[in-house]
Amino acid sequence: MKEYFQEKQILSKINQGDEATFLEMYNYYAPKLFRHACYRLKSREQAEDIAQQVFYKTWQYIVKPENRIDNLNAFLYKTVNNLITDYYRKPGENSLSLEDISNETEEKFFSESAKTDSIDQDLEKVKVREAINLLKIEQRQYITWRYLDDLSITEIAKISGKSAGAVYVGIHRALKDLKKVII
Amino acid sequence: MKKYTIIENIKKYKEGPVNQEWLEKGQESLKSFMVDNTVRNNMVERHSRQEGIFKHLIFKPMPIAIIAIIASLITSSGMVVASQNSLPTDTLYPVKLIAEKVEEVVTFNDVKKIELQTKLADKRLGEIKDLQTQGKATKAVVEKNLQEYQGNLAKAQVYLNDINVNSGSAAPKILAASVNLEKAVSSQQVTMQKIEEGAPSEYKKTVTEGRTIALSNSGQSLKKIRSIFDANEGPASVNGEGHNSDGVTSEGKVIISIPPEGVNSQTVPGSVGSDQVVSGEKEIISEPIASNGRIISKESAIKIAFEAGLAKGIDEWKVELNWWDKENNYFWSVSNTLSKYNGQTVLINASNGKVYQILDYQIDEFLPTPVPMPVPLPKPAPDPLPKPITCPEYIDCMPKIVEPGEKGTPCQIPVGCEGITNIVY
Repeated sequence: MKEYFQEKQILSKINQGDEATFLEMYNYYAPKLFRHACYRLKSREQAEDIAQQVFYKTWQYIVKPENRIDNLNAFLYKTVNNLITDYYRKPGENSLSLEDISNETEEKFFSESAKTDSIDQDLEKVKVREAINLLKIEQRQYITWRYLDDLSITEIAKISGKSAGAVYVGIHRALKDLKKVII
Repeated sequence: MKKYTIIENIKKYKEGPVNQEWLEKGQESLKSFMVDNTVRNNMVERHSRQEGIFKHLIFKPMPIAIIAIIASLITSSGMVVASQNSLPTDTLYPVKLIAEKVEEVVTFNDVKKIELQTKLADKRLGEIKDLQTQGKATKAVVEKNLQEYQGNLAKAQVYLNDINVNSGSAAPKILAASVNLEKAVSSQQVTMQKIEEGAPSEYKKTVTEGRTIALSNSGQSLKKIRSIFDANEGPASVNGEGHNSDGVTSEGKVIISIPPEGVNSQTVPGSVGSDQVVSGEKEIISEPIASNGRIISKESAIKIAFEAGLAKGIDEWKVELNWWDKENNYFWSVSNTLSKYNGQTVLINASNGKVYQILDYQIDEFLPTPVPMPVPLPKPAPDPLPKPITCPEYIDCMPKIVEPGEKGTPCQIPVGCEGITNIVY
């Protein structure tokens, strides 16, 4: 399905503002973007709100004739990343650093899916999640994009503005650090 | 914990449930958001991506018309005329696009609209070619122009599809428009091939993709031609004299009344030229007409052969119209050249465009000279029968004292004399 939205003709339809194709895209990407946001935000409601905003922003972007999306996957994840960054930059209750994010949301959100897991498996999952929080922001993003969002190295490079080689090395180091952190 | 386990644990978060109600509500609000922020036809407005003062213009039909009229009044059309040969990298290029938009807005006839879009598609390709010649072509410009080109073709197809095939009187015009569009696509394919050949790796792939998309989309006009034939089984004559149905010649002319079967040149009551003008009595030098009065165009035959998978080969394709006794029909043979020795030929039913078969051919005269088989060397004549050996009855093997310089008798039974010669001492 990811490949479907990368097809030139489909992408061209989206760029031309084809509403049906755009809604098709929403149905496919909304759950993914929501999970991504959920993974990085402290509130489920905020995650829903931000995931929804991604599509509004995307639509507003393609409405302008001078704009064009070349890689939909990269574009959407970059948008969600920007929105999350903006969210944390806002003063007040959102001014927590990424390090300060509590796991409350994830625990609440993922507790339903974890019901079927054994206690050991659940514990492992929580351990990994906690360990990821201890990584640097960039490393955390790399890990999330690569393994949670299934983005390619090229797409991550596009989102982060780094070279593919740097991303590859970054992911490798992040995993290494993660391994060290997990006891 | 192993790396593999870590990754597996991260991936588990992908399965987290999503509130369906939120999804549905989100979709609804997105729909209304899209309605409130309607996308104007992007394909048309892509032209506004220009530098300078034209960058921020939003092109809507009426404002364009007004601006163009005012502009033309002020400049007495000078600027518009001057812009006609401008290229996407030129300052005057936006003026050219505005003029084209105005032309689009003021064209109402569907057939004329098809012609205009075909012309614009030609222009976009021509611009790429000119830029390439001048060494100014960049990937961005080529991509943009190819998009415009595809947009023009797509519009032409839409206009073509909007015309009612069953309207008998309009059939010749539609046919002519379809044929012209098909012809234009064919010649544009050639242009694109040339661009592709001269393209650097930077945008070569873009051109190849553009060419493939254009070719795959162009099939619609062919379908239209067929649908016209299907819808007008009876005469589609201008003069209503009950002649047989239309035929399409390789020159792109639509014969309204066809000459008798098998005649290559014939005076017919009327014909429609590529300029849509219905002429009076005219001699049509055409391909002979098939038994059912229909022959698909040469360009269509080439396209069918392409779709049938005929490889590009190393030389231009050869296209011929021939008669096939066995099938009692005309057929197009489209041949490629794979090497100077061989190639492939696609045989296409000239009446309905069906592919009869794909043949492999070989050119005998170019076949490599057969390597002469090595002439077997004459076998050496069998040895003549061995001469009868005269075997001595005995050999004296008594040791003797040999004087210096004297040769002693060897104490050895000659070959073949075993059992005959004896050794004595």
